[in-house]
Amino acid sequence: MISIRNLSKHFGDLVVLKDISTDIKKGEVISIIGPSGTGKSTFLRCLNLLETPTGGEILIDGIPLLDKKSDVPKIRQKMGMVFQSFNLYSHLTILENLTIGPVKLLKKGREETNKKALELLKLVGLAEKAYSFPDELSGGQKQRVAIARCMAMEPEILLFDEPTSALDPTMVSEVLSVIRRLVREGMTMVIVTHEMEFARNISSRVFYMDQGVIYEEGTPEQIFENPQKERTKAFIHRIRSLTHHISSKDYDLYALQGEVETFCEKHMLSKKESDYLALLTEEVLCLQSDFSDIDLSLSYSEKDGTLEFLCANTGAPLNMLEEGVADDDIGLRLIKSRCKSVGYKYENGRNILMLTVKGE
Amino acid sequence: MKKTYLQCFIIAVTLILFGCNDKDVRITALSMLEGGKTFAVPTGTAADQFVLQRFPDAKLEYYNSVLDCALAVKGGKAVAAVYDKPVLLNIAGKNEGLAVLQEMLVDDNYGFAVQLKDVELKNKIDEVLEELKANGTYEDMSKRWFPAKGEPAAMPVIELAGENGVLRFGTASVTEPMSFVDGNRNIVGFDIEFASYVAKKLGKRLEITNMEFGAMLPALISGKVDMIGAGLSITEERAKSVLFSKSYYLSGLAAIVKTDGVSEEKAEGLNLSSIDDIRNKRIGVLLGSVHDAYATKNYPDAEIMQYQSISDLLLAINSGKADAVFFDHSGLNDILSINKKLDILASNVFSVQVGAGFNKDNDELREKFNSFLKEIKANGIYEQMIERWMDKSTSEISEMPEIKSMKTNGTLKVGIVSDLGLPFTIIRAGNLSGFDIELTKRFSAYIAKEFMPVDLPFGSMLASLSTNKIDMVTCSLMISEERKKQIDFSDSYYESGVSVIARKSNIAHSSASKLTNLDDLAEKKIGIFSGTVHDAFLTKKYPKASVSRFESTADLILSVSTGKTDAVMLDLITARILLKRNDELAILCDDALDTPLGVGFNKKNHALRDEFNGFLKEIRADGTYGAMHKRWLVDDPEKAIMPPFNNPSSDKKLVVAVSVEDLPYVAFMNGNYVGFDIEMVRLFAERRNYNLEIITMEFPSLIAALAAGKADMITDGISISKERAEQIDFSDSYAEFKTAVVVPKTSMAKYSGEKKTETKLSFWKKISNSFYNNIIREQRYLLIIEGLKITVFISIFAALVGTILGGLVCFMRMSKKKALSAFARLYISILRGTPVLVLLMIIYYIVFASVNINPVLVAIFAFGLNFAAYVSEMFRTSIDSVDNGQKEAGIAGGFTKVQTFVYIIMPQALRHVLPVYKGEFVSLVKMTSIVGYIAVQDLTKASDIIRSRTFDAFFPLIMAAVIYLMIAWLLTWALDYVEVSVDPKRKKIKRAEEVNQ
Repeated sequence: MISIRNLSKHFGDLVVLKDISTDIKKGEVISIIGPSGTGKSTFLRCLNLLETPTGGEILIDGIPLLDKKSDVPKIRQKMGMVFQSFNLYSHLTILENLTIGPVKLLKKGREETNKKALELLKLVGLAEKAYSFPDELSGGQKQRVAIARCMAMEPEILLFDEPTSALDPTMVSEVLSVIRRLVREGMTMVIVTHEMEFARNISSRVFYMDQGVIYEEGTPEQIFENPQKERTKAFIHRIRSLTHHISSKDYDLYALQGEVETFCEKHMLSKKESDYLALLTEEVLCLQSDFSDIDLSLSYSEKDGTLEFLCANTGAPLNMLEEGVADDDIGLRLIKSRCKSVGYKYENGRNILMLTVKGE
Repeated sequence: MKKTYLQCFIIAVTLILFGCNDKDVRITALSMLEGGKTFAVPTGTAADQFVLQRFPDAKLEYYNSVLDCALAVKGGKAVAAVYDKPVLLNIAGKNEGLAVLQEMLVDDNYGFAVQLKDVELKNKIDEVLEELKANGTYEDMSKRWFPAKGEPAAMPVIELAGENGVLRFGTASVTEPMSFVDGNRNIVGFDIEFASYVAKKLGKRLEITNMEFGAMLPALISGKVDMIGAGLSITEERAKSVLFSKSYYLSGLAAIVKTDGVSEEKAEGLNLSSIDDIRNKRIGVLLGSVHDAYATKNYPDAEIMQYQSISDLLLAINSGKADAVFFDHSGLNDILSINKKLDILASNVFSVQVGAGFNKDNDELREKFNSFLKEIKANGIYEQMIERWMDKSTSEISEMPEIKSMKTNGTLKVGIVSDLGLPFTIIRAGNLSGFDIELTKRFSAYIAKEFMPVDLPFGSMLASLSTNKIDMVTCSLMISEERKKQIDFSDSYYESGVSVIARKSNIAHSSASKLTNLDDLAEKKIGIFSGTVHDAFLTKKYPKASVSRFESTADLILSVSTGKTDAVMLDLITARILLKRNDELAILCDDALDTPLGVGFNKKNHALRDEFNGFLKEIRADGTYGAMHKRWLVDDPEKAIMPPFNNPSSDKKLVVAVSVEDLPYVAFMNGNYVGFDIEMVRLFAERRNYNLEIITMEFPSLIAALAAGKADMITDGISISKERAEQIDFSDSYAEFKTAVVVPKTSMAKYSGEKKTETKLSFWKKISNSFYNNIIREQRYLLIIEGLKITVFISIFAALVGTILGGLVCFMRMSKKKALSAFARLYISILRGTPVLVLLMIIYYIVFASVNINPVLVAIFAFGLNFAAYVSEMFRTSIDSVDNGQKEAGIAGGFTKVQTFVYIIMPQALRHVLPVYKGEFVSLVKMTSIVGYIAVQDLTKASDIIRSRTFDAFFPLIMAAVIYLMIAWLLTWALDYVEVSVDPKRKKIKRAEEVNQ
């Protein structure tokens, strides 16, 4: 249905979309996820030319959108858009919001349209609000009306720009239900959302957008269970991390421990975890002999609470955690007692110790 | 700061309360009129000559009639009025506050005058005189016409057969009781009665022609009358051009003065007018001074009071302990500027020499001083000193020059009087200064001694010198024989005059704050018609007057009635009409400015102008002009009836622009244009076969209209002036414009004695009167209705044009294309920054200058342009106020930009813009009130026209305001209805019903 080739968008010097190429087929439900400011909304808005791309090509059912001769408004009539801020026509009643498009644009008869509109409202559960004005509705209700308004135009594809971002949790579910229903009925949709669970449940495909491109894409399982790329992972697991580099043996242990403590406070780790980490930091470093190039990294996954401590030391292969390597094993024992698991590998000339810290 | 303000305020109030000094002193003898007094004399009489003969330094004020002169005296503007005694007696008999001085200025003989060659008539007159005297009639007449008190008796009826023709008698019936107008508006008097007898003797009828006094002799000489008489004095001058009868009445010129001079301050009874008057008063002098001796010698009857010091002396005269004081003339400026209550009574009564005093034994010092004196006189230093001290006014205080001195030979003790005053000796900033001080310092340096001043009272000066306590004395010591007995004098180093000063309240002095002629207005507020010749006149003649310019006569009158101006200048005839209705106003004078009136033509249109001039000559020749002149400019123009007019239906069109101001030139009565000018142009059109069209506009726009070709001729009592003649051509003068100066009666000296008799009308009666005058009378309501139609028409169409244009401008303003947006912004800023009136006139007079366009269209266009600028911004704001998201939703939903605007943005913007749009619309309606400037007769102009007839400011203005208010309400209500019907919430219920059916 939609073909996108080398889409790019600049705002002056700011490059928002670098180079995007993809296809969206009929019946697909695509969720677009990613950190804020990476161009998700911009991408979506380019699809119906609310934003004009700086470069590239978009074909809707074979019709080039960017061609001057194309009747863009006509094309748009086949695409519905649901906005974060609802954007209902405030001078018209709910019913009229639904009927104005079909009557004025599709030239449908008024009576017929009214009937259809009322049915749609019933579908979204707001039939009784037909003669109210938008300012009389709650956020969730408005959004449902917005969806119904789109449906009234009998579109081929629906674009959702963060449909629930402006709603409080209680209302989010009512809107998501409506969207789910539409999915069941086979509507092609592209949804930009932050609702991960929802995206995971209903999508046929997920785009993870980052750095102005579709960084990674795949089925929900692929993306959510098994993200391949670094940033995807980080995003999915909601990983937070702390890194520290040591270059001499006169490093400042206390500063390091301070940083660790701050990190723990920030991510609201328990006292136990915090203490363990402090200890681990010290002990691991005691095991080292060459301090010229050490990288420490602490990763915490918000998703599953995993706390990982990593120490990478440049030098000859040597596993300090092995029995008998260190001078004494008190340190070793201390370390092991506080970790769920310990691991070692030698990679790229570096000895890497991987410890998973015991949590609650 | 506050304290300073308070002080200033108190001083100001005090000054205002006590600043005006209006002092009149009773004159009881002819001699008291000496000394540069002000005399009031009638113009055209011989009185002025006689006054100047007797009082060479008298100041003369000329008035139209002897009655005005007497009133001037009463009002304090003149000290005395001089005229024939019988006339003055008559006036005095009727006026409590006036009295005739016994002593006459000069004796006078009255005679009748006839033409030089008419010896026969003269002889007849003399005969009649003899007869009357013989048969006792003369005595009867005298008694009858010159009663001691009260009014002259009635004129006896004298039968005149008139078989031999008519005796034409010229007289000036303002000289009661010789010739005057009685209560029944008949001309009567001694002279009239006498003339009747002469006529009877000749068997002729008596035809009396009344004229100005000054016109009598010319009338006789030119043969318009046979005999003149009105208390006419026989003088040699006159006898050169006319033949006098024998004197028939011995009269004389007397002076009439005020009898009860009440001054602002308490009447002191002293009326010092010359030095002689102090001979029996209290004279203050400085003890031991020359004045002392002089006064004692010359005024033995006076009480000489001697004071130790100048300050004591001044205190005495200020507090009234002395009546007059002798003082050095050179020091007077200074003294008088400080002592405001004092003034000079007589200046330089005598002069004395001033010298330095020395001990009789100290010849050496004295010789040295004399040499010194010679030296400084030779080398110019003396000149400098004189210039420095003697010739400067007190405001420029001189500085003592630096004088180097050796001081090797010891000290020079000099006796001085430190408070002598300028120019001789004063103390300033702790230092001695003055002529005497400089002189002495220089002398000390000359003899290389140190100057040591010794301050002594004047009286002790000579004693100290004699006993060698001091070496010399310089204190403006006057050289006198008496003193020479005690001390020796140097050569005189200065000659000083001595003057006499007295308190101002005692000196014969007159001033008044009432107005008697135009000069009194020199520094007042004067109102005039804007764009008239009065402007230039006032600027030239009275540059200090503050001038206010008004657009209409009604405004002028309003301003002077309410005190916003002190006087106003306008056409005499109009003024007379006005005064009929405005009791509290009067004409101050009507001879300020006479200008000829002309009709204006475009400079290029010589042909039309010449044609018009030819026409003028024609009507003057055939008497039509005379009749018109009489109808409009002599008789009461309000009663004039316009002759019928057939507007020729020719191809030649004549557009005449007028400004409907007032009679007698152009006015609007009973739905028609009337007036001298109107009649004149109509005649012109008729006789030269033009189709006449008259358009009206504001007076200042007339010239512009001519220059722009909107009118072929302009007329409305336009004065021919050089400035105007630069822009347009004038026809020959067709009438004279006399300017009258109108002031409130209360500020005129003439009426200062009158009491205001106001008939109090009830409030409602006043309103109903106003209503009748302003609306019903002369069908004025038709004017209003016509004006109303125009106003509404212009308003609605201008609003339409403006709204559409405004939408266009708004679109351009909001466009992304820089060119369109910039243009729109420029348009908006220009139109918003230009006053609508200026815009209107530019479009009418410049843009459409030579185009024959209906001014109503111009008005719609101009107002539309202006309206557009404002509403475009309103539209922009209201559009912006609709949130952008809805626009996006529309676009995303497949609406084109235009559809989005029409279906989604506009309905919402409309709701936002209507409230402010309403206001702008009402504003537009009110703005249309200025279209009068381009000759459109709207509601405001209609009310102006009515005002120009009724001179009633209140009613027409209030009425116009009420009508505008009603229009505004109606329009607001209409727009309110639109606003409501656009409100979607109203539709909700309706639609629900619709769908559910």
